[in-house]
Amino acid sequence: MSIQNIRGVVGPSFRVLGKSIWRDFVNISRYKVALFGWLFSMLVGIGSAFIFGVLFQFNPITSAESGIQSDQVFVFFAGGIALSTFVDTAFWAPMGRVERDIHYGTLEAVFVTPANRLAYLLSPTIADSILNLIFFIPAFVIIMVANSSITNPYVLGTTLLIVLLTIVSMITFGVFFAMIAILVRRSRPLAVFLSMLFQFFCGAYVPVQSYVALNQTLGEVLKYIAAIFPYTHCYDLFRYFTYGDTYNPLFPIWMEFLFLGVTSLLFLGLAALLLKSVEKKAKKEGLSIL
Amino acid sequence: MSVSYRLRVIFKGVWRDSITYIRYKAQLYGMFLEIISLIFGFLLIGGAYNFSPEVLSLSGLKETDVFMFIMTGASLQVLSGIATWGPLNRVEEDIHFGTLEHVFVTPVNRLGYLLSTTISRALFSMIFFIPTFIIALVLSGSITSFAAIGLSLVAVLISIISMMSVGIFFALLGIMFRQTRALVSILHMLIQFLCGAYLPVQGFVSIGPGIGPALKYIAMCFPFTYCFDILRAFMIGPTYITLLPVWLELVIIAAMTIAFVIIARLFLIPVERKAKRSGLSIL
Repeated sequence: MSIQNIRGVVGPSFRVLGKSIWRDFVNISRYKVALFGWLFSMLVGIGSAFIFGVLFQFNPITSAESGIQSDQVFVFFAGGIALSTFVDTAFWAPMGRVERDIHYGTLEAVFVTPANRLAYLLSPTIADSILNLIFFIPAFVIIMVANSSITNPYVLGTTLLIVLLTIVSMITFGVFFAMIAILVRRSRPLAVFLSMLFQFFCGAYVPVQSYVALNQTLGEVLKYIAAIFPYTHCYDLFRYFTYGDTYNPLFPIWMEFLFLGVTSLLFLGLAALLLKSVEKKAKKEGLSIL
Repeated sequence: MSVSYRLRVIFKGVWRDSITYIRYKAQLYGMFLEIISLIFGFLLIGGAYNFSPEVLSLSGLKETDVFMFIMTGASLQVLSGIATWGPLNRVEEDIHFGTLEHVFVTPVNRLGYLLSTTISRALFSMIFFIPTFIIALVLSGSITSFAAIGLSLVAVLISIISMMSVGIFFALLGIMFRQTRALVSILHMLIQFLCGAYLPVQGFVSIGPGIGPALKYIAMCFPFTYCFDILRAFMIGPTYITLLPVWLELVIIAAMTIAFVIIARLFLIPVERKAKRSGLSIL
């Protein structure tokens, strides 16, 4: 493929991406109640993490397995809540876009033009991630102050890097889930279920290391199942760089980065494969019927 | 308007909602999966956390009671849709389909119509309430105590009636202001975190002077707080320290339930006026 051909493919894709992100920003700025809801959710999340941190403490098994002190609940919980907002974006942003476009009848238009479908589906997660970042930063500052790391550039830099990696990983999963949303249609209950499962199971609120407190064998099995999902590594790396060397990560750090990269690429690959089925469906049956 | 006619409106409304629930099974499966993932998540939380020593002295709970405590709240939390999403979804759907207008141009009983959505949601929620209630009873060690089961069921019944009154109020808010979703979402979060579904309100005092007691008293302004508290008192037994004496909590729930019904009845007047003047069909 010549350079001009590559430009011919990449140029319009970026244009689709840019225009879609712009459209989402215009939408969001027009309906400000949603923005208020976003801010309020983050406030309630951090507030409840604070209350949770006062009322609860890690039990001795959890502390021993994870290396987190029993009274460090707030930093753990608030970190999980703040990072899980990006995980939620992966479900709700593409699904909301697809549902809205089905409702307005504009989804069909995307599939009958040569517009890049992946770029179109990437846009809602990118737009929502950018907005989420605005609400994430104050929460991040609070967490770092509570952890006494606000003046430590190494902790700030590495944790922010993990946040960026989480966003990238989440975007790949978002594209995959958007395909599911087009194929299955009434995927909202599935999104609720997966979102909750990911929050609890991948370590947003409970250290995966503590699963052995339930049962040694079951805990080990659950730990390896959790490792399939990229978010488990996002949460674990975020905690590792927040708490420092006292924290016992699930796997060696280099391996977690590798897992994160591989699982993210896997979801992108799956999304590209699913796209073929979606395009076939669009040609055969159309996409406008709810 | 005769009583039998009002009952007919309620019955027909419940029947229509039941058919809708059966027809769109995705919602049923979704709720089922949600409950499964919640119980699983609470089990993980229970395995990793203990109550702090201050909470133990304030609530009478044991250090390792975390899973049991959260599950008792979860059994009632399953029913919270009666007050929040159930009536709002029905009103929003009827606005979307244009059928809400129809209710307001016929001599049909409006409160009967709104009551039917909360009743049908209560019946629908029972499917998910029963298994979570049984788990909570097993965990609290009350599964063989008829007195505890009976009293807990009375507490649940009282909570359902209380939530229905709040549900009617929110349905009317939904008609009046349309974009009520954000408000209901806030209430839903408050029920979860402030009113004691998953956190012991008694322990709020240990958060710190000023803010701790303030949060506790704010929580005590909502009927849901007493519903959760009474259910736990009956399930866990005399070792559990309630926020107020049980009789007083029952009186407060009754008073708040009546207050919400009266507010809803009063609120119906401007809604009917709005329906006559500007109609209800415009989204």
